[in-house]
Amino acid sequence: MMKKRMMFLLSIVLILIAVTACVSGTGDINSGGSAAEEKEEPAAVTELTFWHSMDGSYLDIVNAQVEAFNNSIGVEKGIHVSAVYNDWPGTESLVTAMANNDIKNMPDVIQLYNESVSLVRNYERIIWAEDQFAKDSSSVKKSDILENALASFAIDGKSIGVPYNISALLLYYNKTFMEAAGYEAPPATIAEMAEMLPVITSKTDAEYGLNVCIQSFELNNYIATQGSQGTYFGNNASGHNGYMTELACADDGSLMAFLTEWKKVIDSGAYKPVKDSYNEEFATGINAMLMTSSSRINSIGELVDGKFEWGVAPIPTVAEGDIGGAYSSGGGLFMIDRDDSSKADAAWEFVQYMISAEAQMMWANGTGYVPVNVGTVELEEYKNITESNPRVPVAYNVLLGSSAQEVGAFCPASDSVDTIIKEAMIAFSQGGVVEDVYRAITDGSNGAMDAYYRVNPIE
Amino acid sequence: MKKTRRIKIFKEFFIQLIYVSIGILIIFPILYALSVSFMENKDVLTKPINLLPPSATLDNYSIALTRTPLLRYLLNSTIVSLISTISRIIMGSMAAYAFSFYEFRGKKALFALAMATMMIPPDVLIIANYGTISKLGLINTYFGMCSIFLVSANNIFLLRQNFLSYSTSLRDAAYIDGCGTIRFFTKILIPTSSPILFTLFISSFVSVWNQYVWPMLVTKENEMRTVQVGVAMLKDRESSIFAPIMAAVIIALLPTLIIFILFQRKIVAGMMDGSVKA
Repeated sequence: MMKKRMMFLLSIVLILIAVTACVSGTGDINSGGSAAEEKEEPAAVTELTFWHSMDGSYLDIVNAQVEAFNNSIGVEKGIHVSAVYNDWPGTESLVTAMANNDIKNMPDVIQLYNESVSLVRNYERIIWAEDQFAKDSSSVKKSDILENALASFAIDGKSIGVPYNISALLLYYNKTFMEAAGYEAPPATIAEMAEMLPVITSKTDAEYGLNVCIQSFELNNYIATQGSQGTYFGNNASGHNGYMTELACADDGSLMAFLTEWKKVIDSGAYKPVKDSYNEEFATGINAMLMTSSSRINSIGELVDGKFEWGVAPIPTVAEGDIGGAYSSGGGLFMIDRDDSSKADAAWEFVQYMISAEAQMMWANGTGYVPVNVGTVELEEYKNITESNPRVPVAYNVLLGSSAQEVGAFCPASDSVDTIIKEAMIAFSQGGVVEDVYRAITDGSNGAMDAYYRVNPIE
Repeated sequence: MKKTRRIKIFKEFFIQLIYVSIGILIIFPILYALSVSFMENKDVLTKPINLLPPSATLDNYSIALTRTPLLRYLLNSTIVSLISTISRIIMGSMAAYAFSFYEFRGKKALFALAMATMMIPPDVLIIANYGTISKLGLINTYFGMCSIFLVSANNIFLLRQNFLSYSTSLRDAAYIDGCGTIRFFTKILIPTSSPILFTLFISSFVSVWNQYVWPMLVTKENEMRTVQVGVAMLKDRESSIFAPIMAAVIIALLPTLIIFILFQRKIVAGMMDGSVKA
């Protein structure tokens, strides 16, 4: 009896192993393998794989964009795109595939963020967007794309990828609190903001006047927006003209200028330097002002839900004469050559659609992402949205007014540099000295980059 | 006498109160997650905090089930976890049997080599393992996902330690009575080791269930992802939307909870069997 039971159990296990070894996601027997394998469809349909890292409600929008493409241009040109989610920043799967030269299991189009461009800038299989724009058959031209956004994904003046989901660092402010404190407009400079903060907390229920955790994103913005045309965070135009190997802002005085002004904010006693629940704390009136990405406009709007008047504005500048604005931060689309010219052509068709006015309109309809296509603002739907929600176009106007020199850094070892900056700024807020913080950020970041290039030498 | 009895009752009550309090403390995060899964988003992060939903809603479960194919992910996770766990139990017990009941050349070295694999951080091997699975054409397959979880050195070690507690004379006696190796293994050793086997079943199942990186790396199609990836898809980088995530977490928790409840009795029963001497 026991023997029969054991044989039965063993046979179940063997069957399971045999079946699962063969079964793929399609459920077809013996079709298990890579996603790149062509499914049995009419030869005219080119299958593309698109890797993205959009989650939550943004996932719904990406799926809607892909579906819209598949049902329109996709049908017309025989292209079908499958969108596959990879957890942010979406590079783990790509790095393992690149390390094993696993072309079969690579995507045709991948969404990557500024911080990840260093991984692919020398990868021979990247199809540069610059070459695609130059084609006569290209329906989207470089002039259709926001200049600052385009510059954010350019190396040596050439577009390696195209901007896709872009946002800007903005100042969110509680108008009701500000008016109660006697202020009619948001601060234009950091010094002005530092004066406002204690007045706001003394005259309202706000616990803090300002909440922002300065990390590399925020610091990069504050460096980039200085001077009459913007300054660079790193050398070699922050990695856009050659490789970034050290902090340029440490030598040109922009880092010191920012730290000196930020000391005033810290000394106000009404500043919260750590990141908890940004959105909720602003929406419940704990913090009167918040500095964060424009992509949070809709989320914050839902949380505030009419409890008070609030607005968004460009971040206050370091000095009065600074250009201000912000750099285009966010994700871009990059194409990979998988030894199939039909896929490469199809990938460019897909990318063009995703940066078209119509597709970018979908961001404006549910998020605070800035449409990268300048044609989007001419669409009736966009005009209706901006009429009902005047906060929506603020980020677009900020980026429109930013120079091409205000770019995010292609910083190697970006995670390490981010941690160094965050820890130094938190220590600064707890009574640190400007010179010590300057040294910590400069030496730490340069050291991290040196360590990176020791393992990944520049060829 | 009455006073002594009163003191005894009070003492027992106090001890039970401590046990219940510790139990509630341990289970509180799960209970809070359950509560949050029924809250509207605006009620989650408030001051003061809401322990119970001010207005309960099922919308979060709806979001969790519609935004991602969570039920498909549950199925994928169940298949991967079950196959890996059963394989670990079978391979682990057979290896432990050899290491504890047999004497052969190189036994100590082989055992040391098996144990040494526990010292290697899994992240170090990810790229190499991916390359192997890719070359075998096992990307996007259940077997590809299970591949690195089929054997556990930890299980081999624990089972070996358990089998060493058996006297070799027991096996010798069984041999004299005509009981062969496989028969001894299946009819005597495995049934009497049921507590440790069920314990390892639960711990292996939960361990594989919670895997995230490897299943995500070896699957390139959304339909093949596991439930942990599904939960990650629900988070929102631009806001703290906890409610749908908690709903997904509760759904993801159910299979492991069922497995634990089912096998918990077996562990206790096995312990009780062992406590009664013939």
